[in-house]
Amino acid sequence: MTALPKHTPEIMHEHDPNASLLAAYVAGNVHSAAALTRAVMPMIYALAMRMLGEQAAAEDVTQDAMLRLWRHAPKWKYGRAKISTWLYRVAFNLCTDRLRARRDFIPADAVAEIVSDDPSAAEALQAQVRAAALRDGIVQLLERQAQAVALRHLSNLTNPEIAEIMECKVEAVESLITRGKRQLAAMLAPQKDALGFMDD
Amino acid sequence: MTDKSRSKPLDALQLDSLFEAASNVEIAPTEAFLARLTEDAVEVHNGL
Repeated sequence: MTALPKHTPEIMHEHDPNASLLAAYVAGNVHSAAALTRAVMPMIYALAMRMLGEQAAAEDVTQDAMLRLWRHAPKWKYGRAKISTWLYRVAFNLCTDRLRARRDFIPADAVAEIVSDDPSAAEALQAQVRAAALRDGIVQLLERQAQAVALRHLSNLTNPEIAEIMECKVEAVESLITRGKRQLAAMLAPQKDALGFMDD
Repeated sequence: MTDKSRSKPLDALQLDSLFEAASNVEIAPTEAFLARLTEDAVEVHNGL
């Protein structure tokens, strides 16, 4: 294993075990790149899959985020943001850029037409409609609301973890999530029929 | 369904079902994808 570069002493990596791997990568140890990828890529990929709903797009976003990490590696400020925190920010922004460009849309009639033929297919399609509507709604939120809601409910991060990523207080995260979900609930109300929801 | 009921915001359970639908996806990256990312890392390093 290649020694760590002199400008990145071990003490600076105590708060982020992945930082040592990044430092080793910069020093020329390509094996550390594979280890770092295994450590951080799945969480980025999971966020992208849940935000984008398709494998190819999720892989593109994950690959782009990791490329940005490798390119940024020589300038990495050790002892500051965790690598995972930095990657979450990058991946979220890449996902929202893609969602804004594509805007999901599955016609409600598609579900109704298939219901009588194949109930399980209708159920699967209904889930697609709901996921698409949610994605479409999230990108229409204010950016920080969208980020807080996605990290909480799609990445299942805790509020303190989200606060670290968003560089704000936990109370602010709670407020962003509450307001974001309230906005989503109102925004998607006109689509209740298409989403398969019945009012009392 | 009336216009009034249609405009009523989604309730918490309905909203949760949307998050559940979006979260219910296969999220196992393949070994081939992992290898591709590692190749990227090597290429970038060689170009640094």
